[in-house]
Amino acid sequence: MNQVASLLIALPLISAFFVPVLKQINKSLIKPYLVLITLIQTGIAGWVFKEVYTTGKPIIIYAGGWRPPIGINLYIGHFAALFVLIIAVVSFIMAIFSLKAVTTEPIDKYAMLFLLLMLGATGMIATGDIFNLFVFMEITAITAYALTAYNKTGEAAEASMKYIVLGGIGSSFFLVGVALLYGATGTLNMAQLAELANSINPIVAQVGLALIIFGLAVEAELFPLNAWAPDAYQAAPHPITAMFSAFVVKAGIYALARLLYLLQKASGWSSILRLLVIMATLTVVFAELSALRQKDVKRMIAYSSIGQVGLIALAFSLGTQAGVDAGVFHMVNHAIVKTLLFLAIGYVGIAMGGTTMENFEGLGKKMPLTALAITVAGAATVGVPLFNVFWSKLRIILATLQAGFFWAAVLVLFASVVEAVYYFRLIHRMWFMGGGIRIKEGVIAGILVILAAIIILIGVDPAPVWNIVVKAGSDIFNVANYVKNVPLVGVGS
Amino acid sequence: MNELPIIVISPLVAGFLAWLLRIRGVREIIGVAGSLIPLALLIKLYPSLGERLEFTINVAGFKLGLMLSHLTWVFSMIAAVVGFTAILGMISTARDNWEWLFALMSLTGVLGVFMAYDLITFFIAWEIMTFASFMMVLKYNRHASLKYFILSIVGAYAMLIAIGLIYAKTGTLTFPEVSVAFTQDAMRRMMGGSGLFTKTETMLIYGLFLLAFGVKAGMFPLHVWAPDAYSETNQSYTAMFSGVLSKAGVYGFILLYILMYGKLVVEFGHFRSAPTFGYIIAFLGGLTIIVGGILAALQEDIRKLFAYSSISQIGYILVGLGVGTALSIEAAIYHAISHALFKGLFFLIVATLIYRTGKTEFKDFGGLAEKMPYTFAMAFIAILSLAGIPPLVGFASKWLIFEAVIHENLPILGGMVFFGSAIGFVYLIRFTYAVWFGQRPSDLEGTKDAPLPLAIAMGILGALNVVFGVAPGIVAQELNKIFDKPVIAGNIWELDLGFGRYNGLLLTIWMVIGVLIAAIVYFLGANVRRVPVTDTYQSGNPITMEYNLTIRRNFFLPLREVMAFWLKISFDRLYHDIWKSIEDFAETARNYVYNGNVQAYAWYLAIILVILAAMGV
Repeated sequence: MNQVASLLIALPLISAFFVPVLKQINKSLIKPYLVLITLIQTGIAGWVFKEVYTTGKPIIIYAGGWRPPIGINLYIGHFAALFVLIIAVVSFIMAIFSLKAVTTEPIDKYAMLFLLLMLGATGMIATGDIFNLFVFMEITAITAYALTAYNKTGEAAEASMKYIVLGGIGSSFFLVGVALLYGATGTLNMAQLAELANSINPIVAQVGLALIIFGLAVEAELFPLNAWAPDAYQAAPHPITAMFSAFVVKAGIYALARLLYLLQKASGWSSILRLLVIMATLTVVFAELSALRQKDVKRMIAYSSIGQVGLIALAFSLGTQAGVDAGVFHMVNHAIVKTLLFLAIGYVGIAMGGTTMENFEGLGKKMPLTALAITVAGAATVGVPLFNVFWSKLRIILATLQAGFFWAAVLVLFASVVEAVYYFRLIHRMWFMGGGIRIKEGVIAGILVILAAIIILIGVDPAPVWNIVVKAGSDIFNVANYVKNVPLVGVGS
Repeated sequence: MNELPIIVISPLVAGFLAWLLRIRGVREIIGVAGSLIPLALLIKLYPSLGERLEFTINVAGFKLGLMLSHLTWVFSMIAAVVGFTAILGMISTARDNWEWLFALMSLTGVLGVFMAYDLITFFIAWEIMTFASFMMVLKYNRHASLKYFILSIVGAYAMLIAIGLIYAKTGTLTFPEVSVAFTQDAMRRMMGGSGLFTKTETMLIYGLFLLAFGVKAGMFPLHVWAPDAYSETNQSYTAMFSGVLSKAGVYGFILLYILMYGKLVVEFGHFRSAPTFGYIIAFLGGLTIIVGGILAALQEDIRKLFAYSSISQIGYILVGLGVGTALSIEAAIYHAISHALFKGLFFLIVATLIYRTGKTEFKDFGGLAEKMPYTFAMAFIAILSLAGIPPLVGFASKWLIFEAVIHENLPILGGMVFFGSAIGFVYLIRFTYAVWFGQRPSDLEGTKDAPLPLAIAMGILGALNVVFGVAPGIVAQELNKIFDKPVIAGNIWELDLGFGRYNGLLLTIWMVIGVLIAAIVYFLGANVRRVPVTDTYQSGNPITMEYNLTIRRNFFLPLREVMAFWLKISFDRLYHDIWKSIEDFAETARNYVYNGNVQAYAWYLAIILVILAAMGV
C-alpha cells in the first residue's frame, strides 16, 4: 500500500506527457486538467502525510525493486511528507489561479512545465539518492528557466538568461562535488554517504561538501548567489512566482540542509557552517534593504521572500536541533504567507492591470477582501504576535543567540525593522490613499481569506503545527535515525 | 486560576466581535463589556491576592504564564480603570469599527504585559500592545505612526535580544527562575567568582532593557515619537495610550529591579546614595522632566501640550524609580497611578473639546467655562491634580517623590523635580485661561457640554482623583503590601513618613472652611464690576501683529526665543536623518549589488568559490 507514494513522482510525470494528447482533443481542457491533476496529487500527498505521521515510520520506495545502494530509493520521512503536501496544495491553488491569470500561448507547454516543476520539487524532497537529487534539481531548474521566460517579454527573457547562466554554473559545480564524493566513497546513496563520510580523505570530503553546498546555494537564493532571483520572480507569470517562492527555493534549502547534516562528519564542517551563517545573514540584510525603495510591489515582495529564505537558511546553518526545528517551522509559515502574498498581488495585477505601487492605492475600497488578506500577510511577515511567523521568527532568534551568533541576531532584527517600514507603507497606501468603487472579487478572494484565516489560526494556536514541525526537524537533524531507517544491502565498502 | 486568561483575552475578543458586527449600538455595548470584564474580575480577585494566583499553559514548547501579585494587581487596575473610561469615551469619538478592534487589542496587550509570568508572554503582550496602538495612529498620520512603530520595534527587538541572551545563559524564561539565576550570579561575583554573565554582558543586557523600556515610557532621548503619536489619534484613545501604555515602560523598569537588582548593584556599585544603574535612569528621568516641561510650555496645540506634559510626568516616575529606595519606588508607583488618573482625565477633556468644537489650537478657544460647566469642573480637578495642589491625588504622589529624593540627599535630582513642578504650573496656566476663561470666539457660541458617555468617563476619573487625594492612605496601604512592610505609615487619611506627614482629610476640612469664609465674604460685600475691553499692553513694547502675545497665541514666544539655541538640538531630527541615511544606503547597496549585470553576478559566484578554496587550504 505504501507503494502508492510512488505516484507522487509518477503522476505528474505521466500527466505532463499526456498534455499534448489533450491539446489535440480540445485546447480548453488543458487548464481544468491541470487543476484535476494537482487535486489528485494533493489527495495522494495528504494520504502519505497521514500515513507517515500516524505510524511514525518513513515510507521508502525502491525504484525498480532494487534495494539501496544498488538501486535508487525514495525516502519519504516526516519532513518529506510535510513538504510534499505543501507542494501539492500550493500547486493546486496556483492551478486554480492559472485558470484566470495565464492567458499567453502556448498553454499546453505551460501546463507541461507546471507539472514538471511540481514534479522536480517533489522529487528533490522525496529522494534518497544524491544523483537522483541532481536529476530532479535539474528538472526543477530547467522548467524554472523556461517558465521564467514564459511571458515572452524582453524583461522575462533577460531574467531567464541570468537564471540560466547562474543556475548552470551552480549545477555544474554541484555535479563536480557529487563526482568527488562518488569517487571517494563508491556510493551515491545518501544514507551510505553519511555512514562513510568520516572514513574518506578529509580534503576530498571537505571540497566535495563545499562544492555541493555552493551548487545548492545558487538554487536556495543565498547572498551573493541570489542575484538572479528578483528579476526571475518579477518576470515570471504570477502563479509561477508564487510557486518559486513557496516551494522551489524551499526544495533547494531542504537539499542544502539535508546534505549538510548528512555529511556533518566531514572535516571543515564547522567552518562551512560559519560561512553559511554569514551568507544567510547577508542575504537577509541585503534583501530587506533592497526592498525599501521599490516601486513595483511584486519585486518588493520578491525581495522580502529572499530575505525570509535567508532567515530559514540561517536557522539551518546554526548546527543545533533548536535551529533546525525553527527553520522548518519558518519554512511552513513562509510557504503559507508568500503563497497568499503572491496570489493576492497577481490577482491585483490582473484586475488592475499591473503591480506597481499606484495600482495598490485605494485597494481597501476597490478590493477590500484582497487588501485585508495582504494586510494580514504583511503584518504576519513583520512578526507581529497573533500571526504565524511570530512564533518561527522568535524561535530562530532564540536559537541564534543560543548558538552564540550575537551579531547575526542583531543584523537580522535590524532587517526586520526595515521590513516593517515597507510593509506598513504598503498597507497605508492600500487603505488610506486613493479611493475607488468596489470590484467583484471571485473565488481567488475566497482562497485568500482562507489562507489569511490559517495564518491567524496558527498564530493563535501554534501547538499542532509545532508538534509536526518538531518531528520533521528531527528527521533532518537526527542523521543516525535516517541511516538506520534505510535498509542498505551490504555491497563491498 | 482561570480568571487570569479571561482578564487578558476578553478585551481582544470583544474588540474582534465589535469589528465583525458592524451594527452601531451593538458594537458599543460589546466594546464596553469587553473593557468592563477585566475590571470586574480584577476587583473580584482582590481578596485572594494573598495566595499565589497563577495560570500557566504550554504553547508550542514554551511555558507561558500569567500571575497576579500585589504589584501586578495595582498596575492591572490602572490599566483596567483608565482603559474602561477611555473605551467609554470612544463611544462618542470613535469613527469606525477598526478603532474598536485596535483599542481593545491594545488593552489586552497592556494587561498581558502587566500580568506576565515569563519573558515570552511579556514580549508577546508587548508586541500586541505596540502593534495595536500603532494601528490606531496609522489612519490619522502615516509619518507619526511609522516613527512610533520603528522606535517601538527597535526597543522591542532590543528586549528580544536581551531575552535571548538571558535564555541562552540561564536556560530559563520565567520571572522567578530568572530572578533566582541573577541573584545567584550576584552572590558568586561577590565571593570573587566569575559568574554566568560578565560585566560587559550585564551592561549590554541593562542597556538593551533601558532602550526597550525607555522608548515605551517616553524617556529622553527616546521620547520623540510621543508628541506626534499622542496627538494624531482618537483623543479618547490617547487617555489610554498616554495613561496606561506608557506605564508598561514603567513596569518594565520595575521588572529590571525585580529580576536583576542584585546583579546590577554588584557589577556597577552605587553613585551617591542610589545604585548606579538606577541613577542613570533617574538622571534621564530628570532630563525628561525638563525637556518635556519646557517643550510643553511652547506648544500652541492642546494635544501636543498634553503629550509633552505626559512625557514630563513620566520623568517624575523614572526619578522615583531610579533612586531605588522602597519609599521612592512606592512614590513612583503612586505617581504612576495618579498620572494615569489625571492624564486620562485630561485627554478625555481634550477629546470632549475637540468633539464639541472641532478645534485643536489655543487661538481658537476661549470662554468655554460658561458653556461647558461640567467639563470645566472636571478640568479644574485635573488641573489642580497635575499642578500638585492638595487635596487632590497629584499632590500626594508628588509630595512623596520630593520627600524620597530629598531624604536620599540627591540635590541635582531634587532640583530637576522642583523645576518640573514649576514648569508644570506654567503650561497649565495657559490651558486654564486660554480655553476656559476670557473672550469667547463667536463660532463657539453654540457649544454644548460633554456627551453622556464622555461625561460618565470623566466623572469616574475625577471622582477617583478626589477620593485618592483626600484619603491618600488607601493607595499607600496597597503599595505597602507590595513591599510587605509599612514603608508609608499612617491611616487612610494620612501619609506618615516619619520625617514628614500629610493628612488629606485635615487639609480638605481646612480648605472647605477657607472656601466657606471666602464665599461668605463674597456674598456679603463683593460686587461684580463690569470692565470694558481694552487693549493689552506689553510693558512698553509696541503691539504689532507679528509680536502679538496673548494668552491664546504665542504666549511663551519670549521663552522660545531665549531657548532658541537649545531648541536647535533635536533628537527627532537626528533619528530622522539616521533613517534617511539608512534608506539612502539601502538604495546605493541595491544598485551596486543587484545591478542587473549577469557578468557581475557570475563573478559573485567566482568570489564565493575562491573563499571556499581559501577556507579549505
